[in-house]
Amino acid sequence: MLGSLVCRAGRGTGRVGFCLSFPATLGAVADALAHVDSRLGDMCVGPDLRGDVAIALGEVLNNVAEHACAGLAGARVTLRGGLSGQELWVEICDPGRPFPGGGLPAGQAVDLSLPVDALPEGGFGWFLIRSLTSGLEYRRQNGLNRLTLRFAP
Amino acid sequence: MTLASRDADGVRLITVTETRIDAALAIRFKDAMRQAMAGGPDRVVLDLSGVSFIDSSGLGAVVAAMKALEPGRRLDLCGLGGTVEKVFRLTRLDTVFRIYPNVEAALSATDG
Repeated sequence: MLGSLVCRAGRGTGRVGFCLSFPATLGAVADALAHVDSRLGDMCVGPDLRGDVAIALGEVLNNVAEHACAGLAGARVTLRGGLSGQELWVEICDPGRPFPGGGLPAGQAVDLSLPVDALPEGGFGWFLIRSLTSGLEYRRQNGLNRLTLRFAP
Repeated sequence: MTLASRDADGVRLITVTETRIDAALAIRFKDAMRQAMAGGPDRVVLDLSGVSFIDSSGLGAVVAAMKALEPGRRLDLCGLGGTVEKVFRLTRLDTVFRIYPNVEAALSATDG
C-alpha cells in the first residue's frame, strides 16, 4: 500500500512538514499512520506526541473510510501537516459526505457504569480525538471536508 | 488475525501476535477471540504486550470479547504499553478490566 502514497514535501520545507495522498479505505490507514509517524520523527517530534497523533488521526481516518467516503469508489484522502511555532497541526481533506448536522461530533465519554452485558462496543473515537487535541477546525469547501487537528507540545 | 492460546495454572492465556488491533482487523480479532476463548477455564487473560496500537474499534472488539464470555467467566488484560495503555486510561476502560503489568503478574494473581 505504500506504493500508493504520494509524498510531496519533506523536512525543511517551511510550514508544511509533510503531505501525502492515499485511498480513503480502512486498508490504507495503517500505512498512512506509519508514514506520518516517520515524517514526525524526522521533524524531531517526540514519541509521546507522535502516539497522540497516531491515535487521533487514526480515528479520523477510520471515520473518513467508514462513513464520509464509504461507497465512493476511487476517493482519496490528502493529509498535510507541520509545525507552526510549537504547535503541531494535521489537516485531513476528503471528498466524502459532510458531517451529519454540519458540525463535529461532541465526543462525550462513554457510560461505563452499565452491567457488562450492556457495555458499549463503540463510541470511543471522537472522545479520544477531543481528548488528545488542543484544537479542531472543520470546514466544508468546494465539496471537500477539511478538518484540522492541532496538538499542543 | 492470529492469536496464540494455551492453558496455564487454570487460566486460558491468549497472546495477540499482531502489532495492531485496529478498525481494519477488529472483526477478525473478535472472531479469533471467540474461538480462542471457547471451552477454556473460567478465567481468560489476554496478553497485549506485543500490541503497539489499538483504536476505538479495537477497544470495542476487546469489550465485545468480554461480553461474549459465558456467565461466570472473566477476561483480564496484561502487558499494556505506550499508546495502548493511554487509550485504555483515557476512555476509562482501565476501570472495566483487571489489568496486570505482564503475564507473570496476571497468572500469579490470586484475587480470583
